[in-house]
Amino acid sequence: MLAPLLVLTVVLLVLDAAAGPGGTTDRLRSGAAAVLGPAERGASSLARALGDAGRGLTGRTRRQLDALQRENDALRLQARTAEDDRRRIAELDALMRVSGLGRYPVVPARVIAVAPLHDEARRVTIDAGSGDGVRAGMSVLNGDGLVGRVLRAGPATCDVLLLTDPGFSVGVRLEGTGRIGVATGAGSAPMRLSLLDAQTDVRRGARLVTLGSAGDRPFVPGVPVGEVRDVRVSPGTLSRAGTVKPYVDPARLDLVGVVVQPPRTDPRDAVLPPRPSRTATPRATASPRPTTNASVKTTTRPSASTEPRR
Amino acid sequence: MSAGRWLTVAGLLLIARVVDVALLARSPLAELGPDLMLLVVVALALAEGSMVGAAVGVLAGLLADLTPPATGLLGVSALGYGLAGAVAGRWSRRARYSRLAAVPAAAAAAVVLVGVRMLDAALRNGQTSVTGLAASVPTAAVLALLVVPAVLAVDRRVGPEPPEVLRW
Repeated sequence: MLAPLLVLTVVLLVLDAAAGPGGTTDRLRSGAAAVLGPAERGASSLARALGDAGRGLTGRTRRQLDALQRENDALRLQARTAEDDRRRIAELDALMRVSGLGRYPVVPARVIAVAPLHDEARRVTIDAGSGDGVRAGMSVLNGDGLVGRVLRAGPATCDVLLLTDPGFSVGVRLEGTGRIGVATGAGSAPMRLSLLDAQTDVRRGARLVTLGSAGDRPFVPGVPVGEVRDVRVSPGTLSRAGTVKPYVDPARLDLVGVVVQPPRTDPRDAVLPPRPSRTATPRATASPRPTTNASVKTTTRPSASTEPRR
Repeated sequence: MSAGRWLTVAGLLLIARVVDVALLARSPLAELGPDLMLLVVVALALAEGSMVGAAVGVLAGLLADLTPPATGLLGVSALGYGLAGAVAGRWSRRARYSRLAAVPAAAAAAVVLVGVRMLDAALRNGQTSVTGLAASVPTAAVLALLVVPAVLAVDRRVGPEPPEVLRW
């Protein structure tokens, strides 16, 4: 009884180590995600409903609370991105007429499961999947800033690699000066930062935003990442090292948004909001919706899956 | 063990894992590293010995590797939980006489699992944190007093009752 199981385990180990993305074991994982994801979702929402009931919240007030929370998140993110936005407006975007984060549709989602701390990996499962347009490699953010990137997407759920995971790296730009570097997760320790230019003068508290990736995957540009905690001066090195305190606290993640990419050729104007007027900040991540109805709708996931947020 | 009993075990493991990742890992208790699935493995190991303990452990580990958010290589947890089950099974004789045998069995199983996880983390990330993992050992020992009897009670209702379980 034990021998076949051990053989099976070793075979799976070898298969998984050898296979690339989309291999046999990935198909096994997505099969499991299709079954277990909804179970986790159910357990999570049951627990939330019980907790809400304990605090005297009904479904209606909960939805209103969620709507307000999202609106608040959007405003905070907008305030944080404003400075970098101004720099980029002046520098580059005036030429290219590219709106950065502003017009990317964001799919709202909730954290439904968390990898236990002893798994030594900082990952969460959220309740949006390929059915909502989520694909592997998309940016995930919340009101504080960058949360992580989508690792793999199941039908109704997807796994997100958090920015504190030791396997996570993101290109960053110093707000204001525009110097670039790389921030890497380090578990419960603060993120590590290495600035590519050793001459860069960085002060504690300098803010970092994402640099953006080619094709906007996995990272869209301009999302706040964190603040520089300290920078070590090590003579003779080609880069400057330091640590970063991320804005997002992984321990208290709840509502997040997945940035669903617009297709490269067809901008799908049908689902995009009208181009913002000159006076509005065109590239703020998300602006509050004027009507309560729309806000409420944004938080109820299935209908909001294709709904863009400006 | 009968097929019905295996099904019950699989169901218990599934429930334990979902509770672990969807509820416990998000609660304030998360820092303590609670792991209900390990305790299901320990309970079966105490009732049936090392062989069954290891087999249940391998099943549990495969489930852990497949539940979203899936971390690491498929099969690493299976080896970890399998070893933990085999080690916990060493207390199965003592478990016939005392409920308290679950405490050292769970602690030993947790130590084995922590060892495997540290090795895995060191190989994957080149670093590992002992402090974060070590908390799961006393947690497992304390929770064992509550969870192991409950699991055995469920198991007893299903399976043909083996005489040694009756003393629990």
